[in-house]
Amino acid sequence: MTRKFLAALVVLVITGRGVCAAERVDPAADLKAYQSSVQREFPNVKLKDFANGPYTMDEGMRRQWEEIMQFPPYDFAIEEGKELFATPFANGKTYGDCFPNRGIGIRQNYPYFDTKRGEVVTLELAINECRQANGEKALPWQVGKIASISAYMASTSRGKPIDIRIPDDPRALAAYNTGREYYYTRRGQLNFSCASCHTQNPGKRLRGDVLAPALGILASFPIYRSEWGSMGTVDRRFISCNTLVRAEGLPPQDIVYRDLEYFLTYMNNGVEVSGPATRP
Amino acid sequence: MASSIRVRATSSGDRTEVQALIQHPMDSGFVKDASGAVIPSHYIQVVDFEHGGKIVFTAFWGPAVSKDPYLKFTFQGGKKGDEMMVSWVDNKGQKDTTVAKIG
Amino acid sequence: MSKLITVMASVCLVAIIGTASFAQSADETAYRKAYETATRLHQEARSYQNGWTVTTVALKSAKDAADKNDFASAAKFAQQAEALAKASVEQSKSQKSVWQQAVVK
Repeated sequence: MTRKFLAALVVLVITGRGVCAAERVDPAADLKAYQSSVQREFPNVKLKDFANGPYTMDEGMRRQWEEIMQFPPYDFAIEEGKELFATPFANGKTYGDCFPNRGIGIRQNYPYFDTKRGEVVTLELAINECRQANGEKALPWQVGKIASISAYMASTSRGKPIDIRIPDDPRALAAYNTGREYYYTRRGQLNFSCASCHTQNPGKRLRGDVLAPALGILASFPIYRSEWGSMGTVDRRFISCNTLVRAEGLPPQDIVYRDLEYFLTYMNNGVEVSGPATRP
Repeated sequence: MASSIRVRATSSGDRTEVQALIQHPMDSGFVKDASGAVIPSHYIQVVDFEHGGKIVFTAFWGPAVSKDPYLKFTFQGGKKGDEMMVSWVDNKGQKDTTVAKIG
Repeated sequence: MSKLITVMASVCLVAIIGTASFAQSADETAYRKAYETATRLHQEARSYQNGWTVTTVALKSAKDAADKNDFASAAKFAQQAEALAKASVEQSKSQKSVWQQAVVK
């Protein structure tokens, strides 16, 4: 009996490592480990200031940012978003009818894991699904009107701490883990992972840019990037990052991107929403 | 429809600082779209700032100025409560004007 | 004598043309083989969400050259694409077991 048990144990130890690793997904522990390591690395930065990304990492950039913030370039998007948000669909319903609290002050809860459908729902996905449920065509992803509506909704949540929940559901944990794996996996000809820049080298320069830490990085979305000369959503940033390391971007709102956004926003829990924001 | 011009003017002592953000595509005429066709030039040519019946600042812009341009300048004169008029005209003959109070 | 020279000249000409078309054929074979392998490996990399943009570019260059019957260039680009696609698959596979080490604990 004991010999059989020992044999089984040996087999389990040798072959079960992969299984054991998957079983040990513990988002709360990951979060604590990650946030405390970043706070140790930047002891003079308050948690909420991490939402300002590179501007918290570099004095010169901060001064330029303060100048540009006298007239935030995303103001036009918020205005357009507010107007679009309030305009009823052809059937008379509005965006407010699709969202909790009529869509006001809810950005900090996105993305969330929808236990009924078994997948992650992002704010942009919810916006377009709202349109389709009410007989309207979906808006193109990444730019334009969807970014403006997202910008307006984010602006109503300013100051609220990000609060992503991971329900005690193996599918939610799997989604979190898929996102986590994607984040740490090197890809593209340049062999970078998201972590290469945003976890291993925040505050340092990558050519002319100062790298932002992952902590707080999604709290400021959607963003107006001077480089783009326009607004962009999380999808736009994921795709452009992929392309920059010479990996093909996935289609916007691909399930893997949603899982990545889920993992990454969870890592930002506690940071106050500061979107929409401006970036270099 | 909201104005394309946002102005903020503040007086201190005998000077007034004016900032403006103008929403405009400022297409240079050198950029091609996804199909390879040139996007025709469409940019602001003149911006005027008027106070007390006088033009206090004129900007002559062209295709080198970026989209949604921002500008800031200081002039002598002006006090809190005064009105300032800002207007622009572009190479297609389109224009916009707004009036703002000095803060 | 002149007849002999004409015959010899024709044989040489045929030999040269023949060799040239053999060379083209070898290039074309190399191109097709490399292109097919590169495409297959590129798809495999994509299954890991890791298709490289540069692989797509090399494949397109190969196809464009082949369409112009420049099989020497086509073979070169296709072999480049094959090397890139192979590297992208190796990266994907090795990262599967290595990514965990980067996680902040």
